[in-house]
Amino acid sequence: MSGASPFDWLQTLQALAVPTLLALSAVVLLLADLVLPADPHPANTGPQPIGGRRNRGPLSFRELRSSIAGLPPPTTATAGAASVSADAPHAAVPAEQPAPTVPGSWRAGLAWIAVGQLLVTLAFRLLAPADGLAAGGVFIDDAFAAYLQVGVLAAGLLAVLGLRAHAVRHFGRRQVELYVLVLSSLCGMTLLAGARDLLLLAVAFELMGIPLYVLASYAKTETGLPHAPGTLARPQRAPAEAGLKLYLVGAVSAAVTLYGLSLLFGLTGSTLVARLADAPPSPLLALGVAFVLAGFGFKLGLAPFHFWIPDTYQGAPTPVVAFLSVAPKALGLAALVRVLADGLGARAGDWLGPLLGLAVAALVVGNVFAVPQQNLKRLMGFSGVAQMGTMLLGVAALGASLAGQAPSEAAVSGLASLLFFFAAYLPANTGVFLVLEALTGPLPAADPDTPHDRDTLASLAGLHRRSPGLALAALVCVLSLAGIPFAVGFWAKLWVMVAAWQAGFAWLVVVAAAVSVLGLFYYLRVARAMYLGQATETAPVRPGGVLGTAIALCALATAGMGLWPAPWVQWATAAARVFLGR
Amino acid sequence: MPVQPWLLLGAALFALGVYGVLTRRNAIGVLVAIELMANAVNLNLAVFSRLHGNLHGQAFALFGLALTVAEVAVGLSIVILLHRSHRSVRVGAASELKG
Repeated sequence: MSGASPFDWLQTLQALAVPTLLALSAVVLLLADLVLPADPHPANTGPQPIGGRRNRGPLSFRELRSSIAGLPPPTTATAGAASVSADAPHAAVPAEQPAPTVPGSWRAGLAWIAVGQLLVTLAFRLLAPADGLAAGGVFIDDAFAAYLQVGVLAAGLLAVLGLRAHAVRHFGRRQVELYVLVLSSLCGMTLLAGARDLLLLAVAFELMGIPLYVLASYAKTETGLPHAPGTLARPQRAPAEAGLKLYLVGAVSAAVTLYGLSLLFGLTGSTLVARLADAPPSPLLALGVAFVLAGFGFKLGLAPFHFWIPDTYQGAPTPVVAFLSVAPKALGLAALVRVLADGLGARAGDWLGPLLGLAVAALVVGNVFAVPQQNLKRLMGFSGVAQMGTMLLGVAALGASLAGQAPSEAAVSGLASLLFFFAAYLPANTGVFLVLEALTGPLPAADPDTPHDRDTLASLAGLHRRSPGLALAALVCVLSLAGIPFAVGFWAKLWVMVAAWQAGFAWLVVVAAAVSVLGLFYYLRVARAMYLGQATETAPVRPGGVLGTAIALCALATAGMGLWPAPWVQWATAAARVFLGR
Repeated sequence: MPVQPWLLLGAALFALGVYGVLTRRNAIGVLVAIELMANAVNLNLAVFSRLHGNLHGQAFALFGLALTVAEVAVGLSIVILLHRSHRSVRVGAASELKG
């Protein structure tokens, strides 16, 4: 929306190269999925989770297979999927053909294309210079955006590696859509990293969020349940509930945020974030800021808007939660920082108070409610609320500096510590969820009567006997999240707290440190269950090569960054300096 | 052009939407209420666009419409999934996850 400067296509394309690459990757993957013939293996043809396929009446497997064989390949893909999804109850799968993987399946191979695309994009991001403006300043490709883009691309890589086994095992014909959705969401995140226009911010936010709604509701099918012939096999209940809750919260928060943005737009008549600085102080401005903060509060899961988090984490597929729980929230926070610092920096005094309230609420509520949780996913959900609260300390330091209440160096260290915290939090949090996936992913869809008792701390008991490697990886990640000295999570927490202290929020640091002791307690409960708990199961856990690689990457990144934090600290500081123009 | 009446209309629409989200038990009713909230945003944007005499707000409103459509498409799919898994589209039916 620059109007004045001429539109430079080449420059725009260059600045938007990473989101463009991701969007193209998603399209390529989707097309590859469409033209590939349907896998005739019955185990690879699960019912579709979401409507759109027509029921074509009862059909036996024998008829089905002959119908697939009799059709030319491109139509086979859709026709086969449609009839199978509509009519093939899993109960009809012969006993000698159990559900798990078909090694030679083409569709399972497409995961490697997604991995390759992500690696190429990541390499491009690391090699290409990060200095450019798209469409006259609507999008900025600077060191800050590049840092976040590297982070989310790494998160996407871990997500695809973590999802692959789960997808092959449970989702058959519709497994590739998972990667397409991950890539679309990543495209939104990489756009969000550099968006400097309210319109682009809104679009990127939705592009990031909408695929996540679908991912969270990706349901396995309940096997072995009786259902009338001609009706659809019943999908698992938990993902539907998780997806619905994520969706309702996401859609309402998007509407609330947009309402706030519309008021802010009304004050200046421009959609550029930077122009918000010209807005005269008025009740409308305060109202707009309040709506934006509340909307982001929902989206980031800050207390008191956090109620959806534990339910969504518990119900959604575990590898999806691994992706959902870090990158989108960090990028949401980055977008909030963009609006608050870039646009409303001069009014920092107005938004600092509510922000401090949100930080304290998130820290206290997250840590206190995580203590009694028996379900690991819920525990991680509440602890995630607390971690977001810790990250808000960095934003508070930034705000105090912008409001002139603290030295300008506090702004840099506040923002840099926030960025470093994201890098530290990403592999540790992802790793814990992926270890849980290695443990519970191979199990069939849950019994509908007792659906939610499988991800408990008790199910982790004696993990170090069943798989020493997994237990060690989980231990590294959990210790880092707890903030044990010399783990990367410790450096991150320390830096955020020092930044907040420098900015004059000593009381806030004391509160954060006090509730972090609770964090130590519940994270160590996880470690205790793994190493000291009495195992009810003794069968060894084998995550498989791909998931194992993802878990190893998470653990190595966490350990490595803990032992050599210096380069990451420098990188984060440089990115923060560029963002603040200092 | 007097702006206040239009802004009040937008605020009323938004409040109606919030009320609907909080009170509707049927998931489709909730979706309709979210639509109301989104349209309050669009009305605001169009009004401010007129006030400032440029088209930025109207462009924003058009994008807003497209975003809402995409969002509702996914929302209705999730409602269909809910109907298949819970045999109900009542929001209260989906309340089994707890600690």
